[in-house]
Amino acid sequence: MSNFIYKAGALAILIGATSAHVSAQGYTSASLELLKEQKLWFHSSNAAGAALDNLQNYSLVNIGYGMTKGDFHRPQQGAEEKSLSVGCEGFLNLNSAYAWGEFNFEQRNINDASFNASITDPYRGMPYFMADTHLSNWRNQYYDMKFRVGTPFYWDRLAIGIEGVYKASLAAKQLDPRVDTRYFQLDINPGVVYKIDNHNSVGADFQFCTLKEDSRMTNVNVTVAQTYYILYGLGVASQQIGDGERLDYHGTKLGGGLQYNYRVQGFNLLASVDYSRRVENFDRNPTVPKKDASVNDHIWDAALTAHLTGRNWSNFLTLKGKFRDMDGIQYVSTYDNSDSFQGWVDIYRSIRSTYKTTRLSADYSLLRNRDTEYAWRVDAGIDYVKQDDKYILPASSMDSENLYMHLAARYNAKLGNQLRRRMLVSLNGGYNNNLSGQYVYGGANPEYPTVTDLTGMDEAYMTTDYYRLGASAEYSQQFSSTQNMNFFARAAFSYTKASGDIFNHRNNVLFSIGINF
Amino acid sequence: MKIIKYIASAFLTLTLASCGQFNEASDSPTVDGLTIDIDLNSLIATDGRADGGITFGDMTVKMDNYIEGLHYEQNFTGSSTKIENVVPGIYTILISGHGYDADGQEFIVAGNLVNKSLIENSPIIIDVKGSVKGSLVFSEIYYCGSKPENAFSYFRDQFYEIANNTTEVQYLDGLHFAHLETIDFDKVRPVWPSEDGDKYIYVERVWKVPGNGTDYPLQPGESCVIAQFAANHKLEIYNPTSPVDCSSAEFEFNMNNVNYPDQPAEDMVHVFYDGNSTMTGMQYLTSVFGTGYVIFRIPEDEVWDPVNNMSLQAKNAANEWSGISAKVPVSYVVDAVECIRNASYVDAKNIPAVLDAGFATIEGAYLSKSITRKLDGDGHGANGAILYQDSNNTTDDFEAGVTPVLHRHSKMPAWNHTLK
Repeated sequence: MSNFIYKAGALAILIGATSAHVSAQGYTSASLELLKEQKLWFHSSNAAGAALDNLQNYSLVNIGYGMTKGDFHRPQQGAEEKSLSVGCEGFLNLNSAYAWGEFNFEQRNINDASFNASITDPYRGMPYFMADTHLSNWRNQYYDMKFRVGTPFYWDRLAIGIEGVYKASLAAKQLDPRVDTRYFQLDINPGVVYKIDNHNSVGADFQFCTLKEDSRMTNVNVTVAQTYYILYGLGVASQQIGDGERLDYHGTKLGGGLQYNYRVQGFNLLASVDYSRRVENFDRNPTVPKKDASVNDHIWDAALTAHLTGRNWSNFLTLKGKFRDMDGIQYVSTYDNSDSFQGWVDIYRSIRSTYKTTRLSADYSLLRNRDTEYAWRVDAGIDYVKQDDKYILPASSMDSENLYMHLAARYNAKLGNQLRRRMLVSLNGGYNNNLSGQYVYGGANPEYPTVTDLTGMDEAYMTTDYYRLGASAEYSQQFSSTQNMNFFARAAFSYTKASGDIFNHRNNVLFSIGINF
Repeated sequence: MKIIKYIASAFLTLTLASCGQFNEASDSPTVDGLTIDIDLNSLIATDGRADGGITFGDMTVKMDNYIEGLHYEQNFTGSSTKIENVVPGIYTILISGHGYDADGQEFIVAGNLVNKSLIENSPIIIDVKGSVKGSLVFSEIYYCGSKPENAFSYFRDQFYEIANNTTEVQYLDGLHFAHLETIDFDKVRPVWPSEDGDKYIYVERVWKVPGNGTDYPLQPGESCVIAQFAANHKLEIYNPTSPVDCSSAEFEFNMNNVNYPDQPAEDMVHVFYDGNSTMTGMQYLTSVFGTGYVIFRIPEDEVWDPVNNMSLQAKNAANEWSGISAKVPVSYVVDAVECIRNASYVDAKNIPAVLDAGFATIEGAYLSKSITRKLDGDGHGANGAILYQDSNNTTDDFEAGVTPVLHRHSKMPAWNHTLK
């Protein structure tokens, strides 16, 4: 495993750092954005489709700093979050193979987050974890490596490819009960594409993912026992007092996808469907393991992306649908302390909660072409999300339905012909209209903060109308007329204003600089 | 094509390896509420307390799932009842009420099951016994110690109060006091000799009240305090932040430690520790996280000598570091109270349900808090008695997390050294 990880990481960095260039002047920010947007197969789960995408080499290295602040956030997010990230990405056409790699590192300082005392990301689809009521800081590090390798078409018909993903994160809660948690995820996704003729291709891929999170809770001040809760979904919790315990999450995801691609001069369409199933167990105290819960997570994805381009105009249309159906399974265990065996034995399990998500989106972009980039573009989209969660016995429910509409305009100002100096400015706005939502708790201990302050406030967030305004500016230019390397610097700001009396606003600023070639 | 074969075989292997986890998730049924039929099996006639059939009246069944915080309670008459829509899980089931024999004599009826797994619609049978209220009961226990202003901890101020819970005089002479092995942090339950069945409880250290039979009477409404160290703990040399002055305690566990010298209180007599009668150690400390406490009395016609009678000794097979415990017949027990670190430790509860169906906790150490027994009604009985609630369920009978007070409700006995 570790050998593979080193090789994958090395490949990702190597590709990012050494991709040869084909463009004499390199990429402006808009041209690189457009190049990546046009790679329809790249946005699918099938790495074998690289042979049907644009095969221009590129490399990108950037450093970013971001800060988010404001009270309009979910309870387990920080009141303030700052992040510093370094990333590189590149595509390399070796003729006998096409390789793409990406490596990202992020240091994220989360301040004043609550109701999480065990896992790195409480919103990753795992309802079972420990929570405390203290506002606490977290210091997290994320390492994310991906690579894709695809072949050209053999016999002008068949291409194969493989995608690998390795993610690792370290997260540390800074206040008792303290947590040191480590998350690991490895994905291997092989795929094939069969070219029926010059216009029609079909693809299929298989998806395998294994993940693990090892979470250890301790108290530094051992004289003060801490109150914490084991969450079982929708506010249902078991109160605990002490210095915590070690938790072990381990899961596997299997899935697959099918793709169909139609392409003629000026028109490219990719339709895809994906299905995956993740089963992840939540065990307590790995030294004397006790199965406590698991999730059985089914996800269906469907997407249709079309790119219509002419001499002056380009159009992108993307339609997506995502349907998630997750069962929360809880175990009943007894301790066997017979002479022959001492440990927990699970004697019963049942589905105690269900989590259903429906997400539909439609996005359209109109671009005014200018050479390999665009002069300006307008993007509009609509995003519908419905969440329907239930705790079966004792019955509780939590649901929400939101419609988010957004519009953006970008203008790629040409500041001069020399050194391809550009200023890409953007204005965007969106409005979220909550259509419905309600949280009804019928379980034990309705006075617990996991009901009133955690889930109650989460539902309040999920049912709040808000508008968002944003702007960004990105300057880019060649380093010199003899080099294809381009430098860029970007600043972005967004402001989200919530309606109602519970929340106010949230700001986000982002600065990044980098080079591409 | 070789590479395709390798990839295919690798993924076939990975897929097969995941099958067990996936099958387990697929086979999980959706939870459904259970219907639990409860039948009482009366052991009252075989207790030697009564003869003939028993009629049950004013019965209550309580089912507590402490892990999920679920509680069911139902009143019924007769020897069976049914509770519907029960969430599957681990439960403590308590039966309480009254029984009447053929002559109309009334008994307090109690029975219970602890850590009973309810996962299917099957009837459960609960043995119930008849009893009278305990004559002597623990009325207050202060075990957690206190936190000094400039130090980590202080635990010399522990005390145990025993009260007369009748309207008649009770004698403390010869009353034994013991504590059980503390539940370990891994909540591993002890393993005792299987041939013992449920006849014994297993205690770590045993003391007894001195006296010749009538030296230490407790009149109705009186109680006695046994202190770990019967001093004024609020003094500067001990811990000014301690909540108690134990210098008026009636008894103390004097371990002949020069740093904590003998106080005016009567010394308890050491009986047993780790197979010996000699005192070992510089202090007598029970866990500041709580443990089980027992008072028991040896019947006049029996001999109980766990030091010399090896059949009254046992070792906990689940813990190789455990010392030798003494076996106390359940029938000797006058009162038992179990305190645990926090509610999540109930799975590893040590005291049998027949003696204490519940538990108390103050959920921490060095908090200057105690547990105190509730009064029965207004608590006043004939002859000036103070009567306490005693249902053999510490969860119900005690209030936890109160500031400790010596003789909170009842009076000092006349022979208290401060009254002489």
